[in-house]
Formats: sequence, structure tokens, C-alpha cells
Amino acid sequence: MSLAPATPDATHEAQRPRRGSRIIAIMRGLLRDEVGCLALVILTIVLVMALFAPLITQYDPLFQDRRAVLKAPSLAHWFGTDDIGRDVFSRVLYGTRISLFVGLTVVVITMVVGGMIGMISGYFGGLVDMVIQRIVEALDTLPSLVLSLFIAAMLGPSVRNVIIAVSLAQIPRFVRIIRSEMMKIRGQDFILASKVIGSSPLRIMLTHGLPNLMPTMLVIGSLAFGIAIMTEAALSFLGVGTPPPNPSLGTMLSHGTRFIGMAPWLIIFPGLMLTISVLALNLIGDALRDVLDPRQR
Amino acid sequence: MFEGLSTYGRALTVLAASAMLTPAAHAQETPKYGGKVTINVHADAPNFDPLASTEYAVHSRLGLAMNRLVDWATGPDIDYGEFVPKPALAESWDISADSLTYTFKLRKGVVWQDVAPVSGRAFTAADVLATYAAIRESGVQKGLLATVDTITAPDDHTVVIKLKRPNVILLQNLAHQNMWILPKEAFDGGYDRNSVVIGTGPWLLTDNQAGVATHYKKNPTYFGKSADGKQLPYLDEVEILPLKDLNARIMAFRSGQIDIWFGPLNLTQMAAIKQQVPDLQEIKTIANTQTELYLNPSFKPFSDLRVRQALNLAIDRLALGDVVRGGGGIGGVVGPALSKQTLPEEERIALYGTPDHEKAKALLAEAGFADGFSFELTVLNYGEEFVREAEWIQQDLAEIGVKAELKMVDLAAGQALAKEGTYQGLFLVMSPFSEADEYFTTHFLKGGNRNYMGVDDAELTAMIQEQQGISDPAARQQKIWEIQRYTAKNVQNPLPIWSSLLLHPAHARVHGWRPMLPQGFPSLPEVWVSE
Amino acid sequence: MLTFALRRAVLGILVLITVSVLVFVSFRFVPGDIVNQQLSEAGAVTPELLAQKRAQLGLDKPLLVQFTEWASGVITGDLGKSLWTGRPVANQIATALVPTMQLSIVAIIVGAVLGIGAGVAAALWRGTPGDMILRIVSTVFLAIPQLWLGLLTLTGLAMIGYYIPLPYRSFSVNPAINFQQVIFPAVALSLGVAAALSRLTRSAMLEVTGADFIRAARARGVPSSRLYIGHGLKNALIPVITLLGTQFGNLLSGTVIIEQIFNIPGLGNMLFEAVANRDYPVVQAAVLTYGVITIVVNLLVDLSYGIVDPRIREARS
Repeated sequence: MSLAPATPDATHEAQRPRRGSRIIAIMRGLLRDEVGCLALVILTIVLVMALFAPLITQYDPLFQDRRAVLKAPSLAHWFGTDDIGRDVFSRVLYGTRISLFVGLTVVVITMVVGGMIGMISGYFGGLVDMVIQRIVEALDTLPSLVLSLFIAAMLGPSVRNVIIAVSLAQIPRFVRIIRSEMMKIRGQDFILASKVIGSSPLRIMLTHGLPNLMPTMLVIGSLAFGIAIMTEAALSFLGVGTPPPNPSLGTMLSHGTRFIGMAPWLIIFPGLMLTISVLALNLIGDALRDVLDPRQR
Repeated sequence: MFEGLSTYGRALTVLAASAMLTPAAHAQETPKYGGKVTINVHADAPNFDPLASTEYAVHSRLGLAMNRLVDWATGPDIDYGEFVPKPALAESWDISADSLTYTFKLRKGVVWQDVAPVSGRAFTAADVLATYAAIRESGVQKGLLATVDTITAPDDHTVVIKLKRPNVILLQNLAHQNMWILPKEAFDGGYDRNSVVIGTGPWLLTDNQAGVATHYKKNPTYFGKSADGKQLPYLDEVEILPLKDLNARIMAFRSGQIDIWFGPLNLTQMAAIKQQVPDLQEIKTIANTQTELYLNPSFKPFSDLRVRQALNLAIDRLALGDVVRGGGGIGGVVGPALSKQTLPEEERIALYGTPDHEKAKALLAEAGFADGFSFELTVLNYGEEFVREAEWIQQDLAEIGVKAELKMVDLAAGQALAKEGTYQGLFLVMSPFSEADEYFTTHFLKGGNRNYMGVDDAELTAMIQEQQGISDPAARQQKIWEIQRYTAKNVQNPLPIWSSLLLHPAHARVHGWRPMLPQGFPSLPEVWVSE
Repeated sequence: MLTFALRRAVLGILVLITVSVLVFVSFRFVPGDIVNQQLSEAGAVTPELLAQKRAQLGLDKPLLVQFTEWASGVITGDLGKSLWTGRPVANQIATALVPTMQLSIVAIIVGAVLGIGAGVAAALWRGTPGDMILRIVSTVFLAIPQLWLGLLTLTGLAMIGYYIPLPYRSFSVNPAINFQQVIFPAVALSLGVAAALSRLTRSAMLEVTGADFIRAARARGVPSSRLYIGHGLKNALIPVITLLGTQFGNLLSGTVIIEQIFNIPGLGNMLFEAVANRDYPVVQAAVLTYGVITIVVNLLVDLSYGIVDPRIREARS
């Protein structure tokens, strides 16, 4: 499907161009990739809808128009209204905002924390690695939603706690992948050379490890973004996620279950937005993989 | 699509508790024996030990197999929340002139269900003594017998209860939904009352599968007779399904898998069900619980009665009940389901149902909060519609400049916060009380189980103690009303909000079904099915 | 091979101990306890009664004592009694495990059949509109949350007037009813697995197309479809097994939601309720059970590599 010319193998590139030009290169690669283009377009639409929500809709997502309860989609209310008269379209937009915020924060936390731990574990090996791996395995023993559910239920529903719960469940996978990538490059010439000239491990990890691991991190990061959004929705659905009255897509779905077959718009639109957001992120992940590691296409 | 179902109209959908729609058409038909009905409840019974928890799921299930000394009468002329004592295991009783000695004559010829190790033995006073002794020792119902001094049995069929001080509601306490009488073997290690159910009731519990169903079959030795002398129960089998999920319940009801609906349902949802099941019986009552908003006086603004009055004036309860709950009754110091004890509806509407934002703002200004204030409103997660109520209140309060930040907690955490008093505002659903006295003693007496706001008002305490000793019903009702008026004027904490509409739709084949306030389906023995 | 399995088992037990300690300690910091729940509807509750009930359940003992008692029970195979039901936790877990495992296994089988089938088809039809459609469908299904899929299934069923029979019946009690109850949630769960598998299978199949031995065989006149399926599938086997292993974890996550939506009394439902009730022994046992499942599945995945590829087996011994 991809007609884009093969880009150089980024992961094992010996020379490392400066970061700025690298990001431009990745973006250019994405734009050249059909899937990447499509993904960027969808993601941009989703982002614009979320960021400019106040400009797109004049409805306050929290305002209860108590005279317009459970109205089907119409020109006044594009996605209808919920059971206390709040505009579903506006709630979907603001809900997407919360989803993206949670997702982005989780990804940043996971990338920083998971990336650091993974690099340390992979770089040093030995006892450090052993201890880290046991802890990671312990966290990884529980299915991720079960772990998040447990943590969120323990901490109580709030956006902050959701972020903690989802991040903790995502970190183990990150650590494992980054660790194995770090182990792969640990023995390569440029790292050995740095060691010889006496660079500190931290310096080596930041100057040599990080740039080389960045592509992998971006790929799994974009996938983790999607997973984080879905997990936030699931936790909110179960009542331990984003607390009311904030419009979370998961909470909206949970409201909708009370009106299945009566007010399908309460289920269709939040779910659709959720799916589109995750789809866009997954596609970005796919395209990044194609761009960064063409062997796998 | 829903126009007209949930109009913004006032008072129209506010039902008095007595406005129960009982299908009168079936009253003349002759009951038929046989058949089965399936009822849903919201949860599994964790166990069957009536002394271990006050859980609805336990006591509602026990009611089919067990009896109390005194029961709630049911009938077309009796309100959902009206206690009319009816002989059950006690056939009759005498109350001494000083109201301190109750002598119960037990019904003769009653036998326990034929389940080992009790195996159909005759019921005697020793069973009553053993049950009450165990309850007074460590039962969750302990408080109901707090005024009891001694319980003795002069012979096998007489039980004498002596009180420390007069208690006009002793009969009702003995008829309380948690006061099942068990065979004495349940307390001397004869069997495990946690898992084995042995009673004297209309049905035998034959099988209980967690998450699946509880099955009952007719007890051939049941003592109960209908008013015209027919042997009860009519039904051969009963099945109780635990269905937590609303959709599962809706689908089960539509497809006829459940005959009698129990649990939350609003008018919109029922209207949708009715499209599929046009001949369903719309049986409506008011829940015997109400939502209440607690304002912690240790949080500065709430220590001022004017602020509490202002909040009361901000909340548009009638519209809330109409839109969010699709009907029900406006709350009171005593919940509206207790139709003979709560203040008359017009008076409750005057006290709680006439929002006035101007006056509220004036009160706030007087109290020094002209610009309003913010507080954290802890909301116990009682489910979707309850959360909608909280969101509704949030918007109402915002209109007088009081900003409530919602903080959701689960029930266990919420109860802990309430008991510790570490909250600013607290929104919850009150326990299903069946007597005004329960509302008063738990909410307003020092150390009361629901006195989360630390009320300790000498005048109120005296009035509460006084009503406990008034044996003339009319005089007691006046005192109970007086207490409620006093509370609304001088305490105004917690703010009673709303008692939701309870819909118990039943399929047309079910006859004689009357929901009643106490758990355990008291009218079920007289239910029969046509087919 | 045996020593490998043993070593993994020992590591697994270490991990389980860590998890147990973490869960035991952290959960005790959650406010509220079961006694409040049990007495929640009672009007006249005194502090003495609360203390009495706590003592009956052993909740007044020091945390370390409680943990030692619980842990020594677990070692001897006794998971204790539920504080909420008073019944042995082991029985409850066993009952709840049946529907959860049934759901997961049915879902993984359905997912594997659909996914591998679609992957093979896409590889064979490479570049045709069929391939395109399959790739789009799989990409979309990867993005649909199981939560929404479950709700859409219910909405759809409600619209055509089909009702899943209730209450839940296990397969051994009533296979016909059980089938109707399990098939919809299982399919809702399986589509994500199928989507992931089909993409993986397709790319693994295509990888061999350029290999020398395929060119050689094709030159000898062996039909290419047979070549693809034979060699391609073999090449796909190891990544597919790995993916199935990781997907099993996702499936277990999915069952928590799906059990809620479809009213199935499984492990997820049980854990959720036990957390709400502060039923400590059940929470601990349920978490432990999830841990054991994950470890066993991972072990099976590892062992199956050896079976599929003899070189791995040799390398380990």
C-alpha cells in the first residue's frame, strides 16, 4: 500500500543529525506516507475539535437546560441532549479534551519514567536490572485494566488519580521494550567509544541512548496514547474515573446504558469519538513505524 | 420523542404515597393455586445470616422463608409505608397499663420447615427467646431491642417482654424487616445459619447460586391463611434473580423472564418498556429512602443557620424530582414514604419546595457571604440518577453564588468520612427507615448513627424522648409534626431532598402484588398468577 | 526444558509474593471497612456494636498479624473466608473463574480463527481490493473500545428484539442457554484480537515471499498459494503465539468491562464488588488469581516456542 521511498534505517543510524532536523525528517516521512497523512488529518480534526471546543459550540457542557431533556439530535442540539438537558455534542467535545489530556499526560509520564527505568535497566544490567525487572514483572502480572481499576478504586475518582492509575499500568510494557532496545545498542561502537573517553552513564544515556531510542519510544508512545484513552473511558464507565460533572466519554457511555434502545445517541456519539481518536493515534503509530523502521512494513 | 413524558411541570407528577395505583380489576377474580413468579433484586445475598448484616439482598430473600412475631398487614386500603400490625408468629398480644409489659400468645401448631437438623419440629417460645437473645448479644438489629429489660417464656406458647422505659414503637420494632425468628438450633451450633435457611415461612429456599438465582418452593406446612380462609401461599415456586444492571433488567422484563420488577426505573424507561409490554401493570410507590444533603457545621459557612437556610432555598426540588427521578415525593425530616408521620405534602412543599434565590442571596449576605463561597461536596456513589441529583444541586447552588466541587467516593469510604466528620458537604441516600423515631434518634440525638453534623439541641432531644412515650396515636402524630417543624426552622441540617418514585411494574399475569415498605415481600403469599 | 519451566515457576512465585504484599498493604489504606457496609441500613448502631463486629472479623488485630495469618493460610491452600459472605473464598473464586475463563477462551479461539483466516486471505489477495478492505476493517476494529462494542451489541440486539436469556447458566448446567449468553460478549471481545492477529499474520506471510526457497519452489512449479500457506503460516507461528499470549492479558482486562455490560458473574465482577465492600480476603485472592493466570499463560507461551522451534528448545537445555 505504501509507495513512499524507503527512508534510511533510523534505529541503527550511526550518525545522529541534530534533534530539530530529525523531527522535521520524521514529519516529512509521515506526510509522504499515505496512512500517516490520513492519520495526521484525522488527528488534527480531533485536536481542533477538542482545543477549540468553546468556539465550535456555544453550549456549556455542564449547563443543564432543564426544558430540553433527552432530545434526539436536531439542528439545535447536533448530538441530542442527555437526561438532564446537557448538550451531548458539547459534552463530547469537552470529553475528548479530557481524554486527550489524560492520554497525553499518561504518555509523557510513561515515556519519561518508563524510558528512564528501561534505559537504566538495560544499560547497567546485573543487579539493578534484576531488581527493576522483578518490580516490573510484579506490576505486569495483573491485566492492565485490572491494575488500573484497583489503583483508581483505591485512590478515588479524580482526573489526577486516573492518570496515576493508567500510567502505572502502562509503564511496565514501556520499560521492557526500552530495556531490550538499550541492551541492543549498549555494545555498539559509539557507546563504547564514549565510555572510553570517560562520559558518565547518565550522559551516555541522554546523548546516545535517548536519540537512538526515540523512534521506538514514539511508536509505542502513540499506541500507549490510544490505550490510555480507552482505559480512561473504561475506568470512567466503571465509576472510578473522571468524576462528574466533568464530561468524560466513558461516563457518558455509562449514562447512555440507562437509555439503550431509547436514546441511542447517548451511546453512539461518545463511542464514535472515542474510536476516531484511538484510530487516529493507532494510525500515527503505524505510520511512524513505517517511516522509522521500513523493514517491518 | 419524549415530549410529555418528562415535562417541566410542577406538582403534577409529585405523587402522594397513597396514590398507589393498584389494579383493582383483578380484585374480584378467584385466586388460582400453582405457578411461579420471578422477581429481580439488585444484588446477590452475601449470606443468609440475618444477624450479620442489614443488607437488603439478604433480608428480602429471607422474607419468603421466614416470619416475624408481628408482621406488617398488607391490603388495598393500606399505604406502602403505613404500619398496621398483623399477627404472625404471635397470634395476639396484651400491653400492660403502664406500657412496660408486652405479653405475646404464640400461634399453636406452627412447625419449622422440614430441613435438617430442625426437621419439622414444632415452633415454641424457646425459639423466640434464643433469637432475641442472640440479637441482643451481637445482632445488627440490637438497637431495636435497646429498651427491652427482660424476655421470658412462662410456657411454650407465651413470651413476655418487659421494658426498661415505655416504648410506643416496640410492636413495630418487632415487625422490623430484620427481626426474623429462627429456630434455636441456629444459635447453639445446630446448623450454619450463614448458608442454611430454616424458617416457618410460605416457601422453602431450595437453592441459591451466587450471581444466578435463588429458588424457592412452596412450604406445605405454612400456617398462613388468606382473609377468607384459603391456605397460603398460592404460588408453587418463586425465583429471585440478582440483576444489577439496568439493561439486563429491562431486557429480562420485556422478554418475560421476570414477572415483578424491583429496583430503580424511571417513567421514561417504563414508557419504553410499555411499548413492548403494553399490558404491564404500572405499580408505583415512593421509595422509603430519601436523598439528604449534610452540611458540616465545622466548615465555617455551614455553622450559620442562615447559610443552611439559603442553601435550602436555592434547590428546586420539585423540578429535580420531575426531571431526574421522573416523580416521587419531596423530602422531609421524616421521609415521605411514611405517609402518616411525615408532614403533609403542602407543608413540605412550603418548607422545601419553594425555591427563592433572592431571599437566599439576602440570607447569604446577612451571614457575611454576599459573594458566595466554595465548598467540597462529597457524593457517595449510589448510581447514575443519584449523581444526576448531585449535579442538579450543584447548578442550583451556583445560581446563588455557592460553588460546590463534587468529590465522588464509594459507599464504604463515604460512610467512613461521614462518621469521622471529615467532609464539608455530604450527599447521600438515607437508610430505609420505617418509623419517624428512627429518623429522629439517628439524626438528631447526640451520638446517633446518622448524626454526621453533630447536632446536640436540648429542646429537640427532649421532644424526641417525649414522643417515644406518647401512646395516643393522634397526640403522637402532633408531636412528631412539631419536631419536624422545629427542625426545619432551627436546625435545617441535613437538607432533605427527594424521595424517588419507585416503579414496580408487573406482568399482567401477576395478581395481588402490593409492594410494601418492609423488605421481604410481605404481600407475596397472596400473589397468584393466571395462565 | 523441565529446569527451564521450574525456574520460571519459582520466579513466578516470587512475583506473586510481591504482588500479594503490595495489594495487602496498599488496600488497607483505603478508607472505610466492611462493618460499615454490613450495618449501613441499620438505624440504631452504637460504636460498641461496630467494635464488636470488627473484632468478630479479626479486623482489630495488627496488620502484620493479619497478614501472617492470611499468608500462612494461602501456603496451606486456604484462602480464608469472605468477610462479606462468610463462605470460603476458594469456592467463590472457583465459581467466578468459570465464566471468565470460558469467555476468554472462546474469545481467543474465535479471534484466532477470524484473525489468522483474514490474515492469510489478505496475504493471498495482496494488493487487491479484498486485501484493502480486510486491512481497513482490522485497523478499525483495533481502535474500537471493547466497551463501546459491547454496548453497540446490546443496542443492536435490543433493536432486533432479541433478548439474551437470563440468569447466567454455566455450560455444564445448560449448554444451550450458556451458548447464547457467552457468544455475544465473546465475539465482542474477540474482534480486537482478530484484528491484531490478521495484521501480524499477513506481514509474517508476506515476509517469506521473497525468501530464496520460495522462489526455488515456485520455479519447480509448486502452486504459490500452497507455498504461502505452508511456509508463511509456519513463519507466522512464533509471533502469533507471542501475540496470543499478550492478547490474553488484554482479554482478561476486557472481561472486566464485558462482564459488567452483559451481567456475567465472573472474576472481574467479583473483584469490583469486593473492592466496593472492602472484602479484603476476596480482593487479595482475586488479584492473586489474575496473577496466577498471567504467569501460567506466559509460561505456556514460552514452552510452546520450544515445541514450535526445536532450536529454542536446544538453546535452553
